[in-house]
Amino acid sequence: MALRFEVLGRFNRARAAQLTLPHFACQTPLFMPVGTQGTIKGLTTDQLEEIGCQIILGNTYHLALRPTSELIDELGGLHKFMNWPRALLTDSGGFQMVSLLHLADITEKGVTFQSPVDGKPMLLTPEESIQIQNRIGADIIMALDDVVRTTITGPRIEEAMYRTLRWVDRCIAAHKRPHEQNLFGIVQGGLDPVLRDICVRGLVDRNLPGYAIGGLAGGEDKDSFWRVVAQCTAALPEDKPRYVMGVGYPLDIVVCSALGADMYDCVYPTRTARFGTALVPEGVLKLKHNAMVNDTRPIDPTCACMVCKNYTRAYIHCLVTKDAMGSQLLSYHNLYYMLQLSRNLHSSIVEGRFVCDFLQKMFPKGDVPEWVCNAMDVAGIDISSCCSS
Amino acid sequence: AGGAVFGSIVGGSNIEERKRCAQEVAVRNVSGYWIGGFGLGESMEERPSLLNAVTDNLPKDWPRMICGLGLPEEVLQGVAAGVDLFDSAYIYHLTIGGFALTFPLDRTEKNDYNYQLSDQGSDRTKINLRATVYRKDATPIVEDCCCYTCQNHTKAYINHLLNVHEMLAQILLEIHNTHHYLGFFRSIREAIKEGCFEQFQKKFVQSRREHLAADVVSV
Repeated sequence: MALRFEVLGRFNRARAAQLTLPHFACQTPLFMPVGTQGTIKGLTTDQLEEIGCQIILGNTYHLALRPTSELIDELGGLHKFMNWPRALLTDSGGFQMVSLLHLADITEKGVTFQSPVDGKPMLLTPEESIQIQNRIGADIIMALDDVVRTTITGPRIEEAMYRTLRWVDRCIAAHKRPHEQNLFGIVQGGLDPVLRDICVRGLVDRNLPGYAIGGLAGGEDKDSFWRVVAQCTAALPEDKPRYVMGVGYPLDIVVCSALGADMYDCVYPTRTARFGTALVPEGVLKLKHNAMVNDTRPIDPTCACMVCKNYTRAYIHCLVTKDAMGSQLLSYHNLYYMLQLSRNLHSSIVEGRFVCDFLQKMFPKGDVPEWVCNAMDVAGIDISSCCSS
Repeated sequence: AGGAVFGSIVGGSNIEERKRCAQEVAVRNVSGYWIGGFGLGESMEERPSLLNAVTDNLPKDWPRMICGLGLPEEVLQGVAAGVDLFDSAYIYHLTIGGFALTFPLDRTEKNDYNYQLSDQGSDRTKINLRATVYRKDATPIVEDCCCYTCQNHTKAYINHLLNVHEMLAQILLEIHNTHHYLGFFRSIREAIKEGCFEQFQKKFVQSRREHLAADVVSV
């Protein structure tokens, strides 16, 4: 165990906590930008510190291909390689199984990929994943899980859940740096509460430093999504961090935090920036739209970030249709938005007001989606002031 | 609406036309001179006389701007002829090609023969960060450079960023190249103020050709 998790405040199931990792003391709930290949597209590490980024996610699969984990290790680990002084998390490479499934073969041994670089077969076993992650040196590493899409049904889900538990034991055995790197287990089981329950109990038995809720954010309906999160957060230990992988949209983060989750990651803010879309309290703002041509307001007048303080919508409109700078500025703003959201969640969980403020800005007509109302019900947060019905 | 207007001076590679154009623009009511048509194929040898044909016929009190001279040796030719402002895409092309400027900026007398012949066929003026020789190079682009890139990142990291086609590669290279190039201009200004610009130019040009001489000797 190489972390300390201290709950500082609560509102029903929601918690505001301090997560102390080897490289940085973080405040949760927190959002982790995704820096797949050892960089957040277009932003310098200085800028990331400036906007308050606490943990960055790096991807084992990509880094193992280029520049290779051995090279990263030889140069002193990923922190030193990319010059990021705060915390890092690497995922196991497992998610690529789902996204590259037509090229992958999953057996008890591990996962065979076809390398996109040179076509050679690559075998990713739990042991290999952990060894690669040990070399990369992140503060948090993820167990290799057998992840299946929530949109499929049948015995495959059960097979994947039990395999995930067997693989977690192999990951624990292979982990050579437990005093410097925290191995998180990932709860699988699709949308089946029985399978999820078995998986949670199996992982809790292994007494890991933290737990992730995996296999979601893959196209399932929102109603199923929040129920799985609610079930898992209710069953996972109170005194350990809970990470919902691949989440997500600001609204999803607010709901999951209300239900008791602490950590999130998603490519959405940076990816949507590259398509010219900015995140704002009301939802999204499409900078490529013609309406932006003469708009001399900042993206968000209430935002304190460098982009909103220095650039107009009109200028960014010009850039996003022509120049990489446009997506760089939008990435900066969007990440600032997500990190400010995290900070607001942390500081206001005790008050409980934040959820209502957030929902009122996003749904000024009171048309809060039903799944959100149901989830807040379970979370014990009264949002009747934001709903018109 | 209240901005300065510069007069354009053209004339191709024809000394007489250059002179005529400069003389004509010089009597017009403009705030400065934009010298066009250079960097389009004239040789290093013929350029000084063409430049002088222009600047000899311009008043000394107004700024002279030139477009198309980017290489340090070309800039020095422009400065020698009395040009004040330079505009080119030189830095942009270096950056998108993965190059970083490395030529020495300091003007102290040094016996600079510690240059090592390398296999990549490069010289002391710039390096290409895509070269595999930099995969594990944990040193900055230029050792004592105080730009953001050299203070924070290694050649190995930039090599990786270029290999995986990440935007940050161009950002970091552009920062360094701009900083380095502007440093070159600062050296020029200092040399002029100290009254030794001619020596500065001569020494600069000579040292950039030294590696060729060294190559010849070693074969």
